[in-house]
Amino acid sequence: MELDLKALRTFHRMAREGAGVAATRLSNLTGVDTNVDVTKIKFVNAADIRQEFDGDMEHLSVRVDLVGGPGGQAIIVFDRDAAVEVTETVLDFTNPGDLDGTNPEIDDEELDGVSKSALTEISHMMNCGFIDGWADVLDTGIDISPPEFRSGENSEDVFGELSALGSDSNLALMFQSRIEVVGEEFSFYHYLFPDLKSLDRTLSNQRDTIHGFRFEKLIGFDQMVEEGANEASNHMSQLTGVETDVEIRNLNFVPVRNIPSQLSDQNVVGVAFTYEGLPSGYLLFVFDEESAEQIIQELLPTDPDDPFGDLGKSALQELGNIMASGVLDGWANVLSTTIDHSPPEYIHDIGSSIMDPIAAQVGQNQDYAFVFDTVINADDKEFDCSIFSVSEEGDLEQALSQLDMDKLHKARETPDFPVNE
Amino acid sequence: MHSQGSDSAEDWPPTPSARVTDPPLRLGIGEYAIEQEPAVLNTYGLGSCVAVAIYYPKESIGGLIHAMLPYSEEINEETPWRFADTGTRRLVETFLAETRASKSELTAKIVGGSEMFSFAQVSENVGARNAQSARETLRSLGVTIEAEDIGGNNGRSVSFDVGTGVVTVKTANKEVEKL
Repeated sequence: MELDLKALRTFHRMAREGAGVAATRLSNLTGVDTNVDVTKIKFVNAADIRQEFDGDMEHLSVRVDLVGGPGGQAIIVFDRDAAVEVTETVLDFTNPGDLDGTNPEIDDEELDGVSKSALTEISHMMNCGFIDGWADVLDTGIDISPPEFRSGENSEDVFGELSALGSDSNLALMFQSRIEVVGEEFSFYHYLFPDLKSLDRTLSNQRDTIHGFRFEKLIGFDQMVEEGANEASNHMSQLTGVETDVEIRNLNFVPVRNIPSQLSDQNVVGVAFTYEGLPSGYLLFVFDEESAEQIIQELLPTDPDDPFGDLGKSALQELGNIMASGVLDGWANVLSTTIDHSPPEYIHDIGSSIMDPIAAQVGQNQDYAFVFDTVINADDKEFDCSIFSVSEEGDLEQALSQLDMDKLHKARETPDFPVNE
Repeated sequence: MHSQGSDSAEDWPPTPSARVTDPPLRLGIGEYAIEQEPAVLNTYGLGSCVAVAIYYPKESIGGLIHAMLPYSEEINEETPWRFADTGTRRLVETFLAETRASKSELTAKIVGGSEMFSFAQVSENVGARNAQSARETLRSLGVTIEAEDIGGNNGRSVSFDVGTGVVTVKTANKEVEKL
């Protein structure tokens, strides 16, 4: 399937319109006002989904098959608490219950038939809202199958067989949304597992054909970013002596104005770089203060009086320098290009304010940006590190179009060998 | 009374049909709000961006904007709320249209405009130019600038209590300041 930036922006319009229609219908159903917050689009593969949903937490989903338009499947997913809250809110409104106007609380252990049925109805209504919003943006009709309710504590329970959804070899689109009903806030995930052939046909009038790239290139780039993250994790382990792993890796396409919200409003410590070449952009390694203190202690032979003094800053900059080289050399290798990075710049500030000037810079030339975010965890949970990369839009499009998938596959087949004999 | 929005027709309102009535407690880039007592308007993570707070003390009405770039004519005039010049001008114009205030009764406070990085790519004085643009615009409109907390190398978060007109500025690693 051919993609370009115009098509990616279309995905954003789909997310926004879909969430808006879903919110309006929820508002009509509950009789209270709603607010919509579409945060970002993520491209996720089966491994990402398994990592997100294979655990202790129960999730509930409602799935429909799409006929026409992009084709594929649309799945709305709530965690259990959000599902109970949204169901109680709607039941309170549609069936006022006892004298104080509230129904008995839903059993924490097990959803009864009425609750399950109500949740399925609510989810289906929101799912349909999303899909109607997509149909408006794509200017096409989309029919849907009856809803299928699922629940469980792993991805297979929630989604069914992921390979059957085509996500083992493809990326699914995840629209991360939050709907606020006055006094309540419900977070949920909404996934589109598109049928690539029909999505390709549907997007045919939504693209600039001059600067396109194959959807598969995006998958390749995601794999390349994964390699870079693994490199950074390895370097971190070698320098600190603490085993680390890549825990989360996201490929996001976000409006520039949402870039600062990729980081929290808490104080963070880190190292920032600019990089130039194909692509060019910004690379940040960010720690919360506690993690930064831990890692500085690991890097220095003796505990410093002030972890954020000159010695600590210098150690963290050196770590960042080595990790940045690992990430960018990996990219450059796959892209057969050269990517140079700036000297490290130490940062200790409000997280979102660090991203703010980066948004201002890229916002001069573009409205959307690719943001890669990765979390590296120490195995014993002593610290974690987030890596953010914001790339210039046009550069990344060109880099994607030049991505040599054969070379990428060969690079992935190259066995790792130990650095220290 | 309350008024709110952003420069991006595609981002706000979320859809033409979605009802949005809650005051936004938190403003992002390119968003504005005008609210009456007892609202508190917040915007977080100001780096090179500036926040401009407009206050009409007689009726305890306040407005706030979070602008990202200094001059709209340099980039794209279709998104005025994102710029310190057109955003500030529109905020004042909207304020005057929706309240009984006259320009001479308004006061303004400017916060932000830091230079967070020394990288050549991001150090083109965007922060200082943002603050300068807001300042020039307010002066050209005849709105008195009552206080400023601008420049430096740190990020800021702003909380504007429209009941009192006090703007509380939190700067990383520093004491909280009230303007």
